[in-house]
Amino acid sequence: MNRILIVEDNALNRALLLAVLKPDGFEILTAEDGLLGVEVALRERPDLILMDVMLPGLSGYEATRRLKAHGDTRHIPIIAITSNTTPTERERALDAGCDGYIAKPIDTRSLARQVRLFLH
Amino acid sequence: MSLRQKTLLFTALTLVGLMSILAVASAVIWHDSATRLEQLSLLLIGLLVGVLTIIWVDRFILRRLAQLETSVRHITTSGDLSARVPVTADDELSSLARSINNMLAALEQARQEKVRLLQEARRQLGELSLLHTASIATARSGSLEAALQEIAQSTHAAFKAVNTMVVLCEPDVAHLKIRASVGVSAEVLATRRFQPGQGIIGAVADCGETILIDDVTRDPRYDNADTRTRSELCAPLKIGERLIGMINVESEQLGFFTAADQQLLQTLAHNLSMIVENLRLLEELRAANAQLTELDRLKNQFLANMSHELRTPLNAILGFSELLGDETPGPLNADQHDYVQHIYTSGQHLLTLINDILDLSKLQAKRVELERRPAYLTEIAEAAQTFIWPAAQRKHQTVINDVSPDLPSVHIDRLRVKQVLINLLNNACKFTPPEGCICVRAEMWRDGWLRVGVSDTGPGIPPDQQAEIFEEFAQLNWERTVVERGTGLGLAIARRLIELHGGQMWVESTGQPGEGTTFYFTLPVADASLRSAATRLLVIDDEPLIIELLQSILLPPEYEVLGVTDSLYALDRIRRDQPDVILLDLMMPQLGGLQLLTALQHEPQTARIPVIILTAKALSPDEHAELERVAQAILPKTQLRRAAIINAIQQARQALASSS
Repeated sequence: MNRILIVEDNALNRALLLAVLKPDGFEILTAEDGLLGVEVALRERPDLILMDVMLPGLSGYEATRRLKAHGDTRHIPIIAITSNTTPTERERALDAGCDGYIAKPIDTRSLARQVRLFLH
Repeated sequence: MSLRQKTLLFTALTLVGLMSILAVASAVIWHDSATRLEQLSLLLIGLLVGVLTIIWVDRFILRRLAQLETSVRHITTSGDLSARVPVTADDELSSLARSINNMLAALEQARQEKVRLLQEARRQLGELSLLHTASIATARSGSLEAALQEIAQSTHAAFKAVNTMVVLCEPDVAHLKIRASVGVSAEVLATRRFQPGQGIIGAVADCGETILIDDVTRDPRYDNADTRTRSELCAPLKIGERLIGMINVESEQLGFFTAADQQLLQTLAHNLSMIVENLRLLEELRAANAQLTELDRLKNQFLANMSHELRTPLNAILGFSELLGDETPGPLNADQHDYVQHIYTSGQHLLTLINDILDLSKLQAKRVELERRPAYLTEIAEAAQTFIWPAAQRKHQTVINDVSPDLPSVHIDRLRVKQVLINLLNNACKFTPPEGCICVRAEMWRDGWLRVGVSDTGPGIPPDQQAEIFEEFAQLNWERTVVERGTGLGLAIARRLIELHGGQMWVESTGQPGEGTTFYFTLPVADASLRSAATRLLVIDDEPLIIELLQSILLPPEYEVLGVTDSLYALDRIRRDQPDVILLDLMMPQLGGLQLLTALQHEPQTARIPVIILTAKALSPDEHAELERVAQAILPKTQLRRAAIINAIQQARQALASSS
């Protein structure tokens, strides 16, 4: 069964992401900040990570960089969740090593499709 | 020997000679008859006459001439033109003397006139110099304070004053403040306060006219501020009738200031008033400008923060209502479905507004930068059409895409033009009744421009409202249709975006029901030379999401991703565009991937383009081998990571290069 890690500090956003992913029967792991996210990813090795870029403490970009640098987690696809207010956000996300991104407010159908695409 | 001595000698000699001749003559004529005594007396008479003649000549002519000569010489050497030569007797010499005196008088007058003119010129120069200083003081010094001080200094020096002050009304006559001074001690500056009516300055404030006082001790108005002062001159600074200040000079001497001084100070005051007013206005303007810039910055900051804040709850509203609407947590009855739809639509509307406000704010601040690349309109029109398809379907409207793929590419920001098209299509959908028709077409338009038109079969826009609709939050109010409150910011933004591209946007409508409306906008055709250095990828996949995903992770300027969802068009596009790499989905309706691949291989032009196959399902080793023969790389759709894709591209290009 596929496991997805959601790294998102806002409870409402987490709830929404959970709601989108639940029907497909994924096992969901959550982390509320970047540092915790990296820890959980290293420990649990999920099949996909949804990473919010705006996180307290360690930023989503930095967390992504660390995970992509580490041998154990390099292969895990990371979808960045950007806030869509500046054009440089998507570039930064891709530069940090993200494999895809989705902008807030999240189009739930689009997210579901992207997730399925990466997890086939 | 002087002329006089020579003349005397000559005269004497002449007389002696004459007398000798006379003596000889008489001796000859009367040599017998005259006695020696008679001869001697004749000689003596002759001698006497001679001496008298000499004395007369000397006294009446020679001496007078000498005197004249001495006088004139004395005058010329001393330069004293007031002196006169003595006039004695009444003859030619005295006439000469009088003439000389007249000439001297004339010379004296001329010299006095010259002195007078010189003084006058100096005075005027001094005045001009003072006024000039006043005018350029503003140009030289950056501030009002500095300019006023410089003017006060010059005035002080020009009038030889003991103290000088420039007082301004801040802000009115009741509040007078010393803004510049010379010769005034620090304590006085600190403590001195003026009231209207107090002192001479106060008196000028009251009456608004210049006051000149020859003796301050005799004037009851003087308030004894400076004990050295004896006379004072104070002129008002006015703009029209409004008093804005005073300039005051004081002198230690009684009756020092003349009417000419008053005139000068008044002229100076006049110039000074204009300077003060201008500098004050300039300062106000600068302050206002700084404030505006700050306000603008705060506004933009606020908008950015707000939009970020608003997105979070909006995220929840849109996301959850979308999930509900899709019946993900469970089925809904008809009513529930409707209500959820309302929530979702409102959320969308709110999101559009937030995005539009932010967009418009950026456009107004000219902070929008276009990312212009050559792009095909057909494809953008397709994407826009897909976007509004659900809304059009609900109203049973037909959407036609009549943008020919044969049109040349345009040099545009793809995302922005798509935004414009979506906006126009949305409006068309909204304002067209059910069963109506919406059409997008494009054609060549003048040199180097393409014209795009979005038409609908709605009620049209009356000519008198056609200009307003491009304004922010314009409201459209037609009799026949439902009153739809405003078109929001969409058209305002759309037009600005088109104009940023150098194009134009306008509307054509007769206003007659059923004849509809057409919005036109122009876009610049891409120059063939604009072909960028980017790697051009053509993605052929019936799944738009794949195309969008690839477009979002392979960004310009390194990559340009164009997509085709219809495999029938694909071959044409490949022939025309000559992309650098093709990504091909195997499973497509109509013309399948393999068939397309075979067709490509048959043409030398297209055979040299590396192909990467995208597979959705796992391949058997046989299938894999088969594909490897015809394509340069295989990429499973589950492996659509940026790194993997870039890898595949490199691999494909290398494979083709090494095999040819």
